[in-house]
Amino acid sequence: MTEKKKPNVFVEGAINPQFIADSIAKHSSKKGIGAHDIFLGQVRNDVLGDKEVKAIEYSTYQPMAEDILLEIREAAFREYNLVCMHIYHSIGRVDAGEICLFVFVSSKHRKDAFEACRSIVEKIKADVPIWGKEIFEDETSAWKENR
Amino acid sequence: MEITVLFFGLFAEAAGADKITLKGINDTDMLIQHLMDSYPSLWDKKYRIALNTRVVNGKTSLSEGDVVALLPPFAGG
Repeated sequence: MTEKKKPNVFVEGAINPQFIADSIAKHSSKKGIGAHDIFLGQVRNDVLGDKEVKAIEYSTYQPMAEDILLEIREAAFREYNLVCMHIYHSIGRVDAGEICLFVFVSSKHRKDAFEACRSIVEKIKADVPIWGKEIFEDETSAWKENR
Repeated sequence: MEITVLFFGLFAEAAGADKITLKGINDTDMLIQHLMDSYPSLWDKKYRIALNTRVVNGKTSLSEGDVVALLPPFAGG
């Protein structure tokens, strides 16, 4: 594959809600946009046995993840009529209740934004090499697996 | 011929390393056999294999300098 610009996706720690608000605000200058769709993944306090998940520690195989994310991005622009899209995923520790994934898709009309956003999120879960270690209150851990 | 093997997630924990180099491994089947012999706790684990960052399926030939990654189930999002 020829070298294309790989957008920065990985964010150390939780994604700050202010960052999400600022990202939305930046799009006010793109006046051809009529629809935004946003997906936010949040770390859930699952209970395994009698232990509650306190945080997830995310890791990745970055060169591969960046290649796959670029493919996901290019497929979305091919298949849907989009103005722009942004993907951010946490690396490192994210506490339960904090945001770990931010997908932001913008188009002229709602249908493209809805469908592209869903497709991108499903592909991120299925194809991007990211691992999550669930940390319990007593600091023991278990490896998470996407369903 | 030398290849690099990368371990991630629970595979890195089981192997006690993120990365090893191996000699005399000609294909992915031989690699898996070697790894299962070296790290018996990997036997019952699910994984995918990436060769130079691309997922490969079935027996795949390896060449000098290849980077093979063992990828446990993904948990992004």
